[in-house]
Amino acid sequence: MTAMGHDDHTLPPSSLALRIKAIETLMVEKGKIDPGAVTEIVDIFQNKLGPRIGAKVVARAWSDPAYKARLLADGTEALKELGIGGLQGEAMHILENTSEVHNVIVCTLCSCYPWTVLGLPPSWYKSAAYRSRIVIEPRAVLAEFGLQISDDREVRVYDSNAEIRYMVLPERPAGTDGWTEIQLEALVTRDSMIGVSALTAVAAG
Amino acid sequence: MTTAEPTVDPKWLEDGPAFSEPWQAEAFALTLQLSRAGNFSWSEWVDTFSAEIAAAPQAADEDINTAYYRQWMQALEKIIAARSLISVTEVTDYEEHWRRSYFFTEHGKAIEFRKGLEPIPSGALEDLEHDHSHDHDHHHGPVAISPARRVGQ
Repeated sequence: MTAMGHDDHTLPPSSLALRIKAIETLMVEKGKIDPGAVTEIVDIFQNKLGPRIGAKVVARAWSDPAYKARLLADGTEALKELGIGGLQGEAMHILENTSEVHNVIVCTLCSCYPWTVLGLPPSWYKSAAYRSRIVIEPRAVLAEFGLQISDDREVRVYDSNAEIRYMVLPERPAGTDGWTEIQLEALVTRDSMIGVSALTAVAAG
Repeated sequence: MTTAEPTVDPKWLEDGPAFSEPWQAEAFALTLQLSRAGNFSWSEWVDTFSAEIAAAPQAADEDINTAYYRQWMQALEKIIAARSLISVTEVTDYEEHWRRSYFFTEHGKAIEFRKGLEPIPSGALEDLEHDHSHDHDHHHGPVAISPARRVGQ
């Protein structure tokens, strides 16, 4: 492309993705469904269904050191063990947060995202501001999410793409010794698996 | 028109559909909403969908989700056409409006649906796809690192 740069255009999604949008637009125009109704249902899945799969994976990794080792060595295979498929040939890499390293994920070009484990991406993940600034000033952006990373921890930013998707394995909060996987799963948030929030210690009780 | 709350049956949240791409969630949600609004009953939908699954089963080179939502879309287009809700021609026209709306939007900006845009120049989509996959070169490591401050610095 010479006359126009590639940033002047957005690559359209697949034909099926465009067709579903076409049907939705037509149905709204003809008054068959309310505008926004579909988005609301999608949001329910985005917030409730999607990240729960990732939360299961995190809870298993916290509870089973051998599984965690397999997960970090080969995320794609370890996810298959839990029956998590639907991957379209892209590899999954799991990034472990530790006391020395904090990881955060982005897709600088578009909105590649680990759909299979986290559901649909939040709208800010797709924003131009997040995509560019998290690379340039990760600590400042994380602080805006309310996450202060201390100076003695390294921050690593991982750029997802068509071949590789990343998911963050957050640190297990203190005060959760002896918890079952189901209890642990309930603690894990979507944002902690993107790397823009940490899971806080839970009061005993 | 429905006035029902856009709630989802808890069973779908427990062991409901897994989506491997966002449009699959849109397809699911749109079908649910069309049924709720009274355009077809859920059992009519299940009949149409199961007939489609039987007629066009999963191919050897398809994963389960790809096959499932291919069948889902075919069933949805059939049930819509059978009820004369919208025609195939309209869907095809609007699909092209959406494609052009994407193409003529600056990268990173929200896509606004527009009609009457000029056709996408021949070969431009292929060029864009090529640039896209080229830029998406394999990064195995982090794209940026903000190092820890060492003691004494």
